[in-house]
Amino acid sequence: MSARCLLFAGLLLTVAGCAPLTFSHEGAIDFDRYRVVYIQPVATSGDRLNTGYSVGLQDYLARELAQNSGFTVITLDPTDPVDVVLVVDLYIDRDYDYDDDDDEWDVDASWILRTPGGGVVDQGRVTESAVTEGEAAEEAMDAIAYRYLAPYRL
Amino acid sequence: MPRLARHLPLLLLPLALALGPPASAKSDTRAGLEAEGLLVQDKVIAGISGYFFFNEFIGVDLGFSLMFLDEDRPRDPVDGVFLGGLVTAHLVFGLPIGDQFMLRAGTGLDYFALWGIDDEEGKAAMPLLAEVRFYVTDSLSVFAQPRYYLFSSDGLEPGVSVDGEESLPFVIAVGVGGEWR
Repeated sequence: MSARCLLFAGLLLTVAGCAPLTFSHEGAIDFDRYRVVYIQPVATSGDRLNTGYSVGLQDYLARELAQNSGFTVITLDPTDPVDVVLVVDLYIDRDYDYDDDDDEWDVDASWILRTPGGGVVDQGRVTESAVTEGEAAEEAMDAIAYRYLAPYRL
Repeated sequence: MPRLARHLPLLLLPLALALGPPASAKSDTRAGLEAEGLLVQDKVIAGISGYFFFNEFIGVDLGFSLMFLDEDRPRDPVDGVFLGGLVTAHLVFGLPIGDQFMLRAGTGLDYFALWGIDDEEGKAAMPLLAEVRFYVTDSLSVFAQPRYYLFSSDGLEPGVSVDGEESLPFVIAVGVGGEWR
């Protein structure tokens, strides 16, 4: 009886076979239309930080976008012909605690993806926290890069 | 609302199993560890899970599996074939049938962490599971567990092939495990 039940179960599984299960992502923008992006140096301001532009964060964001984004070409050269320009502003602030060791850094990042003519293609805002300002800023860059994850269907 | 109505009989199954135990049922805790795999097209999903039954009928089941593509496709955003991990947490209701069989039903969360695509990429789904378990010996059992996905996040398409061909939104997990009482 048991052997027969097992045989029946085995037959059922064989008939059912492997079911399809698909992971997909459509992409935040039309990457066929917007293939080449120029990343501006990242504007920074806030607590204990000189207001200015960070080339380091610009490089970091370019590397992250090169890994996973749907853009075909990512350039840091402002003279290159491009489809869109990514403009990022960071405001970094220290979140003080009674115990200095528990201080955190908060980053408020806003960005605009625009055409060279100024038309807005996409924009957003993200907040991140970390124990150092560098980590917090990089987490914000990660979040922006994730926004432009390449479309996939697996 | 129509979708909920369609799922109603399936939703009532775990409730019926939970309320079904006879009044004379005695407390009986059990724990088990098992190897399991999901039978899905174009991917390999396999791992371990563990369960703990608070009494003869109600327990929790936690699992972790690794996910791989069955082949490296150069145009995919995945570097190689590693896709990520599957974390599962289910509340399960069991009903022994004789000495060698147990029926289980449950629900919970299946989270597909797609680290192979991006560290932040992930999809979640709420399964309704039914399981048939056969005890080969007192402590060794094999099982088949269809999971019907009631809800899933955007971009998780159970029952849909990569080509877009649709079938029922369920997958089957199979496995073997040991049990301690």
